[in-house]
Amino acid sequence: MKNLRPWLSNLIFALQILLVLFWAFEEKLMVPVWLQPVGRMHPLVLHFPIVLWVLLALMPFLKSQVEAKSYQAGFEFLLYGAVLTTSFAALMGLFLSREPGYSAEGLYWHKVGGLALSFLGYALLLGYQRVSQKPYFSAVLIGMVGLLAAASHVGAEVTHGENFVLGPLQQSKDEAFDAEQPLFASLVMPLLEQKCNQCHSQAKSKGDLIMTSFAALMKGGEKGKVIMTDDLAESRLIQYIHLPMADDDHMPPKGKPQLTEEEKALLQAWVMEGASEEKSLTALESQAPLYEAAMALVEAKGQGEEEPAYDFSAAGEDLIASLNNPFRRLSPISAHSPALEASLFVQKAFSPQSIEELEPVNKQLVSLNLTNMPMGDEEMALLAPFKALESLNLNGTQVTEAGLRYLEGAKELQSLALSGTKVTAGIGEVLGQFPALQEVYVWNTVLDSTALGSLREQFPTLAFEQGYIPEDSEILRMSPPILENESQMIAEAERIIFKHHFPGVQIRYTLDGTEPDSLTGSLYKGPFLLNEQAQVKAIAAREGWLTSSPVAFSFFKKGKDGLTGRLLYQPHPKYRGNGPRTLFDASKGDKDVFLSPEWLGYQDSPFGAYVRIPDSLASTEKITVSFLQNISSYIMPPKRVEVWGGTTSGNMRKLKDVRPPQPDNYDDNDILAFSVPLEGEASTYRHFKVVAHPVNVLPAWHAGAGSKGWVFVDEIFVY
Amino acid sequence: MADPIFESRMNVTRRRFLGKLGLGLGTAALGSLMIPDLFSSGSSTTAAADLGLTHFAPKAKRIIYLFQNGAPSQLETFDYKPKLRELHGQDLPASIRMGQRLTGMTSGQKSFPLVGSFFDFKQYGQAGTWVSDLFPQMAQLVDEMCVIKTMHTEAINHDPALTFMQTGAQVGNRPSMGAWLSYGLGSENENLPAFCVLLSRGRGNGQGVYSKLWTNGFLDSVHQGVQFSSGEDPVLYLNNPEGTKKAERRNMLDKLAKLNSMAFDEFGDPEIQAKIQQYEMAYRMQTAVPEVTSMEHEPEHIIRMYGADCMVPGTYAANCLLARKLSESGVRFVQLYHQGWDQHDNLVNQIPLQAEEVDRATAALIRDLKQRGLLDETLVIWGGEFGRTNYCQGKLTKENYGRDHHPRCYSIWMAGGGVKPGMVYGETDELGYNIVENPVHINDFHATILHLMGLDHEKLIYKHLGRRYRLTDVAGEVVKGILA
Amino acid sequence: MNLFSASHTFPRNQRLFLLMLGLIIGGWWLTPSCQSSRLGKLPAEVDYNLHIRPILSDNCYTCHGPDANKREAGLRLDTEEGAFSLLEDSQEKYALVPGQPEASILYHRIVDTDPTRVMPPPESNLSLSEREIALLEKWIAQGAKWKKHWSFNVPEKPAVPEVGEAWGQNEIDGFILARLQEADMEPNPEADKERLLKRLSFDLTGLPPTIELQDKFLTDESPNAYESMVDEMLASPHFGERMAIHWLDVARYADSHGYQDDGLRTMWPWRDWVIHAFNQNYPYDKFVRMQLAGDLFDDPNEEELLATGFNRNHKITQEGGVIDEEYRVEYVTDRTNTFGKAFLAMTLECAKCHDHKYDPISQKDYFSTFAFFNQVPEKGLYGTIDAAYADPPRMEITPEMVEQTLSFINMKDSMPVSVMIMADSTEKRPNHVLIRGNYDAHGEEVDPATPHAILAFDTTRFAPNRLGLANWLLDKENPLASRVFVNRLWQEIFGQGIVKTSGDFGMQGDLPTHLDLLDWLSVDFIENDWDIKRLVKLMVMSATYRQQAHTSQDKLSVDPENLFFASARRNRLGAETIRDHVLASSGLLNPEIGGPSVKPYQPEGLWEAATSGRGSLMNYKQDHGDDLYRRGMYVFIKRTVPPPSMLMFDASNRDQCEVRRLQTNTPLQALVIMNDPHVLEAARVLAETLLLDKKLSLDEQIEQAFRRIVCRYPKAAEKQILKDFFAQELNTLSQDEEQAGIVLEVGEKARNKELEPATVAALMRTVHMIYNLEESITKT
Repeated sequence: MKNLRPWLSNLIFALQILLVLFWAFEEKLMVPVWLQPVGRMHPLVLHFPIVLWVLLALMPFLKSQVEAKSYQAGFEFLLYGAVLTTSFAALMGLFLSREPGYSAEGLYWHKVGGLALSFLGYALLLGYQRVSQKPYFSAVLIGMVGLLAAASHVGAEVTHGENFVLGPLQQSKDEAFDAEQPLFASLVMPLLEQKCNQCHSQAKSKGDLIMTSFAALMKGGEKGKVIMTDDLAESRLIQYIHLPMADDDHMPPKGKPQLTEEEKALLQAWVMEGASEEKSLTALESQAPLYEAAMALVEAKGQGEEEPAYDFSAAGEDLIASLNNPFRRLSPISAHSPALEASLFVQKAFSPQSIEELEPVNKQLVSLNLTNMPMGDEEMALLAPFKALESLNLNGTQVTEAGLRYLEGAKELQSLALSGTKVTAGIGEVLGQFPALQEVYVWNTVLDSTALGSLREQFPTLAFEQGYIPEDSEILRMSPPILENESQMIAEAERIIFKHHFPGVQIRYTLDGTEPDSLTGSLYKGPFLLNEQAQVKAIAAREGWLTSSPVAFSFFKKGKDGLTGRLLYQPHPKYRGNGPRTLFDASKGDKDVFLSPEWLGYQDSPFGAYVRIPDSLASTEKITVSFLQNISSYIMPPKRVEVWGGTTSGNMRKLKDVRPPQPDNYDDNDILAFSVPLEGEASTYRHFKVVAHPVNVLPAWHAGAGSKGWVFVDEIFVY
Repeated sequence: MADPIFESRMNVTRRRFLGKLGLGLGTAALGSLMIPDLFSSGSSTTAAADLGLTHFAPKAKRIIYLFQNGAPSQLETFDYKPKLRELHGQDLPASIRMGQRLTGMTSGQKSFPLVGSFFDFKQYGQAGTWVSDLFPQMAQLVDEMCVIKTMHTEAINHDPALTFMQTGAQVGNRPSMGAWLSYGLGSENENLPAFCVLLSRGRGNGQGVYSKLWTNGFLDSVHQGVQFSSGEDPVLYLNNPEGTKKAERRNMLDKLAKLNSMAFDEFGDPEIQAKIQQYEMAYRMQTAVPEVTSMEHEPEHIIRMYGADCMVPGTYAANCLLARKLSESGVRFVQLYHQGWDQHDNLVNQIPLQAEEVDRATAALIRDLKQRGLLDETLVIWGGEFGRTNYCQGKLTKENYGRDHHPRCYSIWMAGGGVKPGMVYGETDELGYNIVENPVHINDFHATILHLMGLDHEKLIYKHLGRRYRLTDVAGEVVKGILA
Repeated sequence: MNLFSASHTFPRNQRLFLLMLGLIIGGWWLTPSCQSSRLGKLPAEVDYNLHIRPILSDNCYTCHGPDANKREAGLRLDTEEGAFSLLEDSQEKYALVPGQPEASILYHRIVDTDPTRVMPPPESNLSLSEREIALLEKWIAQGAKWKKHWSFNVPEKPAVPEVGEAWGQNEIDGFILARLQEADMEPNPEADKERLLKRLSFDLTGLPPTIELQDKFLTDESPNAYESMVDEMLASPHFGERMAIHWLDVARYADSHGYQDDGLRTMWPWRDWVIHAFNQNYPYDKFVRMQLAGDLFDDPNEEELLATGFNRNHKITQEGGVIDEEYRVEYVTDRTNTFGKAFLAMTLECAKCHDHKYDPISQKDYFSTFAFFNQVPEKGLYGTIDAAYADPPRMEITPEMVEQTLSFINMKDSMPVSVMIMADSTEKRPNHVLIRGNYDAHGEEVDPATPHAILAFDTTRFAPNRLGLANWLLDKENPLASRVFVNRLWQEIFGQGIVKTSGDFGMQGDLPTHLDLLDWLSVDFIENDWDIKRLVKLMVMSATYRQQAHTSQDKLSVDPENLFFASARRNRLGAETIRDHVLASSGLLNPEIGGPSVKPYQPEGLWEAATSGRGSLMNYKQDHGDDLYRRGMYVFIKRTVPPPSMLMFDASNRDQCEVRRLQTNTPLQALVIMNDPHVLEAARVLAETLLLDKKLSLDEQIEQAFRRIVCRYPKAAEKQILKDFFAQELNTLSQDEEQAGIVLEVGEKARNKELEPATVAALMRTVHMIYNLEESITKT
């Protein structure tokens, strides 16, 4: 037989540590429901130490009668027993003390006593050999008993009632609150059972009051009814629970588990509402006091239970902290849970270590997210140690069912996300190894409806999420091409560039203003040159899609540099752009933003500009003016445009005088170009004058029919 | 102590002390089982606010808020009012209006002719939720949604209403919802901002958005919303300049760190080390962001699901897709704004275009989250800043009408993380003007969202210039009725 | 069976047990949940203002404070009589019984364990720490001595403490050193010349010292070398700009109207005036009087009218369909709140909907102050987008005016520009308390007045209009005006105010770290006719200012926030200043002062994405040429989309009055300096400049770059790293000429084609790295 002593003393030692720890952090100590019975056994267990210590105290008197060796052995036996049981009792006491309803003062001293007893006892265990021969030794033992007596006296007021020890277990079995249920059954009765029935039951009906049924409750006790639905103040039940602790009538009595604020509120509201046995939450206005009280109570109850209870211990905070890095997030699933969840981020940062390093917490790790990590089946081997996993996200990895075999140990696994992985129908052979599995996400895998069909048969309890499958019948419109060029002003040899993010899309375009479609118009093969000002219309087409709506862009080739000039008429003060600079700054206005430094606007006077071409220019081919068309904003093409030119500013002859076509309905906003070729002598002119007259009467079909139109100009080019 | 963050830091030292000893002794570990925050929730390396601050177990980890800017008409979308069709053209009874103030746009109006929606409604899903024909795709998903028909506000104009929805106050420079969450929960993926903002404009009448809507207010600017674009440069200044290779950048940063640490040795100023760290994080963002925004893992049928627009940067569809990618990569709060719902007139022609742009992509987002197993932990919110009047603004003609702003009731919906799916919450009167049951004020809305994220709206506090601020200011009740 | 053999020894680990036990208990004593450290060291003499009021204000005033409507049990603890008077519903009982905690109900209630009775009540989410309780107890025991809130006492000039030490240049140092000695700490020695100059230059001009200036200072051995630098910079026209940057935050200046459509506004001539005013060193009282009431002077000149633009800088809506009155009231509210924050450092706004919760400001006080700004002939909605760049009342500024009276305005265009100004309408608008602050809920009628707790508004001395208000503010008896400005100036120059919460001198604000110093400076400031430049000089001449920025573990442990100024603060440069530094050090800066705001490089699509699609600001039209290189304060601020890089460096979004910027440190800031074309272009241009100077060796080139940017000579080690880096870069880049070319393609400043691309690119990258140094954008 092995010598138990070191083992025992270690156990005792550990118990002391726990005691100190819990004592130091009492206010933080949260006893899980499953441990409460242990705590509640304190009142039973504490009798052992009492007996043992008393015996110990008596031992010295036996000494003379017993042969030394066995006395020694017996004494030690008792001593170990006493200290051990004392420690246990103290520990349980601590647990129990965490339950609500015990008056602070009494409890405090009881606790101090218990702990002191346990520590002193242990100290004695360590040192008794040195002192056992000393005369005062028996005094020490008696002192212990004294302390014991004192401590237990204070604790004595903590007594127990029916069904005390197992109470919490049943309580924790409370099924979820159901709004349809009568409130009496679902909320009132349970709390009476918990906090009142220990005294007000068939067995011990204090004050002849029994609170174990609706009828009995309404019947009342020796002093008559305790509930008056018509008069709250007269309802003794409500009175008593609101009395100050000090008051003798206060219920529940001092030292008993007390009602929480929510519980008081509920009882009161329930009585006010007429103390009905039937009424359920659904029958109430959401503003009704009872409704709110009930909700408050439900939530208060909920707090603790919201979180799944785990029976494993938490990992150290240092450990957790050390395992956190920018690419790996490891954290408790919530503030009060020992369970951990981990996510890996950034593919480039992934390495086997990213997972291996998590092994120290494999007992706690219940959720792991590896979305899009560069993982194949061999990396899956890294997951073998993580047997506590409940949810695993492998979306977007290269994993196949072969890799899943490594997870065999993960008996807790409930949710498995495999969307976008390489799993095949073969997965059927692996899923069997996960008894707890509930849901599997297999969208965007080769598994089609038929494959899933058989899987569903194979695993009727499993939920397979196949995801959204677009119907082929439904044909969607393609998005239009995107223009790369930043400005519609294109420099010499600058190319027009279109792009489309969708692979396999065909872009078609026209330069003559006609609408291209999936067949007509030239196919875009790459950046192309424009030889002059033009409007480009483009569409995108693709097999199985409707052709995109067309997009149109007016392009202007950058003209010759060095033009100067002045305005012959002042623009409208609100639309004066940058003055004459506007015309020659080689920067186009936006067709939708006419109030901008890019545009000059005229309504009452015509637009007129004098243009000077630098002499350095050998010859010119064309002069172009660009106008804005924004019909809904009354900005029309000019009614009439004149272009003059000459060798000096003094003598200029009219080169052109035309009336541009006017729209007959609300065409789109656009930028119109008006050009005059400069042939023969004109090509040598250095001085020009451009005049454009706004339409003075808008057409009948226009909202502003009859009123004046506008002319907007943003640029004059010479080529 | 006012600042919960500060408190949590206080605890760390003590936890460390006992933590080490406890582990050393072995037994303390067992003890920790019953002293929860003895060891739990190690604060991570850089994030300012962090774990351990959730006041209780969160139901949702992330939020995607699809804000419909301009205020979509509830009467054309989710609040079905056949009665309005009966009374079409009749004047709104003053008894119903009950002195509701009017915007300057209709205050001049002599009559307020009621308008029944020109768009038909049908019931969908097991919930039998009414949805108008404008949203054929969303309608397929009503059993995932919780439609709230009784949102209400005080503001009657866009700017204050929008500011209210996003910051909990009509005026002032308060932190926005996303900033509060970033402050309260920190970031999940440190290589990305905790709070991202995506903008798009519809074809309808726009109302404009402003950076104040994603401001950090008086919170540290790490909580500021970071504007993402689905274009080439998804985050401002993220891309290295032309001609700079990643390796060269790395080399520069190493040298830089050397020089900076020399400065630290001289001055001993912790800010210098912080600066070195920030450069490292910036560098990591340069790797992480493109991975997230790339289309690499997106098969063609994803594009069919969201619609081809999701290939065009800056569209609502593209933003929905990007939102999913960001959320999937651990961004706490993705805020979309989509303009164009302000149909004062010409509603009949405008709203279908607007709806078309939104319907498919929105539905796709929910389906996409679902098929990746992310919907349970992601809260999706869809809605605007207020409702629209049940009477016509301007002239009611046979073929057209418009609706003015209406603060007393409007419809939004939520889906996923922690909300009851397939339900309709609250009821408005048969004319769709007043709330008759279960009103949800914006403060309640905020309180509920924080609750779902595991935060108690009365405890998420920041003290600034002597005053304690909350997202819910001094009001707000969690709407328990919609919690799953 | 025999479990226990007679002889045995205990495992040694248990020998350690008692030790361990001791350790654990020790550790437990160390935790906050334990007496000794929870309490810390209680002050010998508990001071009401220092220790008690903060506790009461923070935890009790909400229900027992100034707000009459929220007051519980009729108990108010914010006034002496309230706190010591008989408790309402309990005979013979007092909240506070001087000398007897046990007889004081207040004490009983805060230590009560019963959740239904304990104060503050649990549902308030407030609770007193053990220390706070102990303080209250001790204070009562010591006789519960009451004091008036420090900031409401009219400051008196205290004697400068006698500190028998050599250290110190002027009075400031006396106060600082005295405080340091109490905490037995040593001040730092004077900083080396280079760092001192950098600090000074940025604080007084917002620009880095040129190399010439550095050399001049380094070589100047004369005792007044530093002083002459100070004078030179105070005289620089950039001094006005530097001062204005802060004032523009205070005045919430912007170039757009704000709110959604956010159209263009032209307030920039007012901005030019601010710069002018600081450069002319207008006394603070004149400066303020002109802005608050210039229009009410007897026959005001154009400049005095222009100055009143201060009160029109608030946001203005252009959203069709808003309710006129709602927004008009909003504007008046903004002016009132701004007045409170900017000049009184009082959170007036808290009293708009109800009496102030902490400070003695009633809702009536609020709307009495409101009344001063309520007479403007304005509309809530003057017109929708682009209806006007300046809503009336406004003034047209013509080229003629600029030639004659308003020469300080940088007019670029012959077109007149209109600016919003203040005016009072002839027929008086009645002033009401607005119930719950609602614009349409008129309550009792009120006359213009001010919170009397600060200083009664004596109508025999002050006219009931803004001019009267200005005079009240600047009255000798007003305890706040001078303190508030002095504190903010201190904040701008020393990096942190003597009162840290420079926007809140109320009960909830931080207490001054050096009240005596603050008072001395404030009185001195008034005695010297509010002379701003003199005050600035006083500060920068102090030894406190000139200290080294080095800090030590000991100092950090005693005073982590450096509240005692035992060393200079290493503050990061402000958003605008970082831009200025980059431009100036690279030689790109266009030093032009004033004029219409400019639109430099900005990432594409920001305005476009956020716009409502209306108005002249719907898309960003970037400027070109010299306008790209203007100082940061001239960068166009569109309120709804402020310049992103500015926001990232904590610039104000100009939404409302801001008196103190955050100092944050984020990865986005790193990205800006790494990738913003501004910085890259600057690096390129500086590299080109250095290479063009044929006299310079590589060493000297790097040295010069370093001196321009970090403003000191590089240490050998630093230089070595830079040189190695340059060598590496040169090596890689010369292998790929094309890449070098691409690297140099940044910014619109023309490239110098003569230079050899690889070399330029390599040097450019070296310079760029220097820009990325923490020290470059930090005052050291």
